[in-house]
Amino acid sequence: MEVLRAHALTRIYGTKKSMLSYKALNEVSLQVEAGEFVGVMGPSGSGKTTLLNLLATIDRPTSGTLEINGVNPYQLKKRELALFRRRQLGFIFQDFNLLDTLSVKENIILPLVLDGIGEKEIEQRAVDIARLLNIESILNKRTYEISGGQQQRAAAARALIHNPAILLADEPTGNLDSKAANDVLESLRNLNEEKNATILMVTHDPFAASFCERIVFIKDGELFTEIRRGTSRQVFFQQILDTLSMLGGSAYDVSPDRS
Amino acid sequence: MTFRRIARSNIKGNLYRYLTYYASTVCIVMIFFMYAAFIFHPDVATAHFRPSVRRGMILAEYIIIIFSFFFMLYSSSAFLTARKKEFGLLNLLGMSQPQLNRLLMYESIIISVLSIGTGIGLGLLFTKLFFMVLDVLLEMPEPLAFIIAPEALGLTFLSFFILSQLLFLVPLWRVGRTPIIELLRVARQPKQMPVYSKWLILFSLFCLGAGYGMAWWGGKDYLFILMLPILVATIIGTYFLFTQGSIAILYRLRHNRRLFYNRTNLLIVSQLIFKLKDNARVLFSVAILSAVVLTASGTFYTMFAGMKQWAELNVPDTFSFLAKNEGDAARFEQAVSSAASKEGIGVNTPERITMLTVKVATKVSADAPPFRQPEEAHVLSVRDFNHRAERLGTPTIQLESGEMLLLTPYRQLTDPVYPVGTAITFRSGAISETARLKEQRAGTNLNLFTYTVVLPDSDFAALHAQVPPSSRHVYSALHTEKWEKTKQLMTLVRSELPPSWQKDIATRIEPYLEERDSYALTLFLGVFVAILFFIAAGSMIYFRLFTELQEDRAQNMALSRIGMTEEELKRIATVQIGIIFFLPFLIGSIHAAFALKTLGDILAISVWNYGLLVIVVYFAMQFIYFLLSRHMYFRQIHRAGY
Repeated sequence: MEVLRAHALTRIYGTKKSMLSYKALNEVSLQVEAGEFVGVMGPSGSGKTTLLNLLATIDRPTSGTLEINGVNPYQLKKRELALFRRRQLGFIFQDFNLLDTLSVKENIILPLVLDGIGEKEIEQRAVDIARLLNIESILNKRTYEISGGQQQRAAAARALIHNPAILLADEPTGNLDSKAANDVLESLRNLNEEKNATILMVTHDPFAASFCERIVFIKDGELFTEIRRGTSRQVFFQQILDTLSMLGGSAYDVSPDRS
Repeated sequence: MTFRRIARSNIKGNLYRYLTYYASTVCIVMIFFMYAAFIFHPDVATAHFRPSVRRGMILAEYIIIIFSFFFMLYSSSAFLTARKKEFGLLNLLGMSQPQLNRLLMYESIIISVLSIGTGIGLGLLFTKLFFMVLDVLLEMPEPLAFIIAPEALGLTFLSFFILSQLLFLVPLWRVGRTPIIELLRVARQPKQMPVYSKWLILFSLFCLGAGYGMAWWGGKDYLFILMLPILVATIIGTYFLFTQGSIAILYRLRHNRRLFYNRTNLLIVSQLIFKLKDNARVLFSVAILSAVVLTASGTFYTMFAGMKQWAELNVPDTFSFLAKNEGDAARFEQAVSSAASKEGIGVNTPERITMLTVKVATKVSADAPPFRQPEEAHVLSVRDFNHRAERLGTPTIQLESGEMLLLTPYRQLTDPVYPVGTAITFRSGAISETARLKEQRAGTNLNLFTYTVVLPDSDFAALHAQVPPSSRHVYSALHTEKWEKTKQLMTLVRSELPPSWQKDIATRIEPYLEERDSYALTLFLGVFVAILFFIAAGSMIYFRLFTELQEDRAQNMALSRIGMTEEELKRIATVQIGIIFFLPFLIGSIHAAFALKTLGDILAISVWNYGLLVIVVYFAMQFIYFLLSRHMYFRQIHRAGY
């Protein structure tokens, strides 16, 4: 079953008529099946973030269509769109975006509380998802008391507690050291395998990308190629590196701050 | 790009922040200027005010300038704190401290000249109106001409220019001493979970309870001793209420899962914990300021508006005359009636009461002050007394033969003069009469400000028959409609009657006008300063709101991305801004209510109507302030877009 279907998404910044217009994304089409773990890679300026913003419905394409779970979010009104994001999408950001006025647990349950779910069910689901992500012990801590990896896993818990159609992750390991990055990626794979969560992750890090099942490469705003993982992650990692060198540009570029 | 151009574009770039600073400065300059224009006005400067009034006028100007100093200090430092990151960045890029100082100096010169100019300009526009209000209040013989004394212009411009330049240096000095890294990080420091102490909350409640209790029960009799303890207790109590109590209440709410896990409550409550903690001191100051403003306005207004009530209570008859005989009384009544018909004012039928004047022989004690030592008293019968009491709605009395009722000259004189049961002896010529004191009441229900004795009808008749004719009097009273308008009538009546009668004629309008005039200016100056305080209190909250704007904006963006609707975000902000605006006001109102209750006890009048009106008026103003701030806040939050 297709969870996400993007058809010929184009995003032009600036007005079409002016000389300053810039085509950030050119007719990109993408399908994501339920339960898939898809990566999006590309050098800086390739349009990764533009694509993700479009899929996250916080930006609108100049042309092209998008369907998530059979709904075209661009046709929704502002309020409905916000509710759509809240119910159908889960987000993980590079800078975690946890609220420091809330405890870890309160951060995680926020989407459920906003939707007016009953108190007992909220507690139950919080415990379940925390167990899955191995963060039960820190539920009552404040966000500044825990490590980056734990923060990102808490963010992942928040993104998935309401069972969204798809989880969109934007450089989830960008701010983490390799050990924490490994923990977070293992957690994501765990969620993907055990909860059958659909995940779309944008990254420039080949190691992070090697956890995916399929990777879509974009360059200069266009779809470049797509590779699928076989059985070994080691081999897949090598394939990614090869593709990146083909793509040109530095794979380890500094990603701009997306806050 | 010259320095001055950077300064100019900085102002443009920081326009909304400058706007608040600018607007509040304009307001204060305008008020200061109008007031200066008044006291330096040639007619006012040379007018023969009582020295105390003139001193009061100048004092108010000092209060305004001192107050402006603190207020502008606060606003400029709030303003610069909000820009710390920018200064850090400029420092990082290699701008030296002297250069930064110079840059800010340019900015501050531009903005202060602009705001002082606008303030004076607006002041000029409203000065005539202001003069017209003053003409009415001070009953100036002729209206103040629209003349602006050069002193007023000069004083306003110079004071505020120097003030604003000085004030910009203070926070600057602080910024200069802060390491760059802290300047840059200013908004990124993690927030520690606020803590509170149970003991301090108990202490706070104890202080408030003690302060309120003292005001409620002891304020009337021991005000001078208790004033300071009441103030200190209330201020300490309020301080801990904001720094500790508010946090404790919110923690309580957090533990109530059903409430806390209900949609936006989660965010409202948890963010409020931090907002209240961070702003506790400001909110505390605003609460105290509000209490001061409300109490002062309430007091002045009560005094002013209560004057009518005061006059009606203390001077029950519009016109009265203590005549020597019926003939004189008739002549007086005739004079009033004919003058009233000339003026077109309705008069009721005169009321006559037979009275006696006697000497009081029983001494209270050797060292009693003169007003507690009845020397002379007027005597009337219980029938006449009850008759009047019924008409005025005051308590009547029943007296047995040999008993008496003693009325003190003023309603404020409530302490017993003689113990109940004392046998009191009066003398009139050779006659003496003794009666047992049954009861003492404060205030006569006549226009007589002397001790008055009420005797049973038979005893009165017996005494009346015995005393010499020179001790017999007739009290004649008339009532007119619209007594506040009887000034002209009073002059007319007085001019028609012989000079020797004048001291026995009492009118309600005379003491009323005298009191009113002396309070009118106080009321006016009081309200003037109160409004200034009020603007300041609102602005303090407003500045706080904008200091946190960056943080709030980032958080709103994050929340919006994960699917918070705009209405939800607005609701959260509205509730939070509302609490920050109205919580101090509420506490201030409660404080003011207790203060006004004490005032009411002292003045022996009811203050609730006036107090409530004042609170409602200020609430309405606060509400407008709240709506404005909320509007500005949303606009700024939205500038980032989603």
